[in-house]
Amino acid sequence: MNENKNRLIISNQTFANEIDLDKYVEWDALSLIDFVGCRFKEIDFLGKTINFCIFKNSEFNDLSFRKCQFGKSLFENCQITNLDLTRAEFSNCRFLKCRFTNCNLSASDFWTCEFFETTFSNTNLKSIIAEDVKLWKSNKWIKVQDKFNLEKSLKDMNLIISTDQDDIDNF
Amino acid sequence: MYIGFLNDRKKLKSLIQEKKTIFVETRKGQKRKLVSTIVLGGALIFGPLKACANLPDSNKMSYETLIDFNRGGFSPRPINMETFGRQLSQEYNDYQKDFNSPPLSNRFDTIKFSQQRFRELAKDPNARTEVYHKKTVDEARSALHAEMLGIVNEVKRIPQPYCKSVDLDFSISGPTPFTHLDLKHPVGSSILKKQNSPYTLKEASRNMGKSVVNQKQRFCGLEKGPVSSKNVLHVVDLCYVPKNEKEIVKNFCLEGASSSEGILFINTK
Repeated sequence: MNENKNRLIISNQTFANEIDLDKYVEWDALSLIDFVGCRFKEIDFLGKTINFCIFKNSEFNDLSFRKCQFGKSLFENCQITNLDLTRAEFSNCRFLKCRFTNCNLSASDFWTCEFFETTFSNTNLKSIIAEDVKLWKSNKWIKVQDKFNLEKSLKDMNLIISTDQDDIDNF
Repeated sequence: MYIGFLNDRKKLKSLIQEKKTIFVETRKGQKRKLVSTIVLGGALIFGPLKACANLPDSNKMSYETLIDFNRGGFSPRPINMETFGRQLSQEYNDYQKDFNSPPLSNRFDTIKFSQQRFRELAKDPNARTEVYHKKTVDEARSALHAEMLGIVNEVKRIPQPYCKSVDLDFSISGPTPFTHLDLKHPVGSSILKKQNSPYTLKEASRNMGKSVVNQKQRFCGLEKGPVSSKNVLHVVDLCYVPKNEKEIVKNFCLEGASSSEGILFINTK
């Protein structure tokens, strides 16, 4: 399996521009990298492919990952702030104990993804399609029933902490 | 001062010997009277000598020097769309260098395009500054290619601030019923492997087809957006797919989309 190949582990590093991160991009893709305790800021990463990556205890701030394709990647205990993820595609991805704040996830796709104790604050969740997506609630996984309305499922499960509509519209 | 390239040196030589007035057609299609000539390694300088005053001693110029001047803007040789794309985006340039295979398609050979228009289409419409990504250059190139093929008319980027909400690649003026265009650039199995993709070629193609269906629907009814999903055309450019896999990608994409309505493929051979 791909995920068992030699993985690169990058710890406690700050990526403050595209050039820092481009070193690890091959064939327009980041793959098989564990980012642990890393900080990503002010990076425009439009349309890249991200496969088998792990982002653990990391911070994302003021980034654009528009139209990126994430495959079999894990976000664990990440603080994700001011991240533009419009039209991003996530397949077989997991989000564990992450917090999205002031992010834009509109028009993104989630296929076979899991959200464990992950919350959203002032985040645009419009026009998302969520197929085979599970949310963790009361010690059990609950499948999102309406694939066109992830936002409602998140609200129903109190995973949207606050919604300042003005902030979202002005994103 | 003009610099041209000779196709027929023997003919030129005979015309000079016969002391005939020689006209040369430049690459821009203009006819110029040949006043003086210096022929070096197949290249030709022609025009009033006064205009050459700033040049080094012409007789000592090497062929390479001559080419350098040619690039320096006296009368630049038209560059094709592929070369222009590489000049615009380092990211695009790097990717094409890595993509070490035969020419992707004949679209790169065309010089009949407006650099200004290409630049406008290749610029990331959502970026705060002027940025040219590999993806946006790919989009511009494929959109213009589709336009040249007569598949779409008058491709334009969706202006700010509407592109923030209507996140389709371009607006178009037909053919009816299409008002919006979105581009896809699938890759072949060798690139998927190099990207450590968790998906096979068939799976990736099927997923792309599913994604196409979603994109057609989600922006309908928004200001400056399509009225219905039937107004959104998807052009799938198979330029990064090797010949023997193009049909597989096409078939599985259509399988994922469950319909071929509003989906067209280019670079299929």
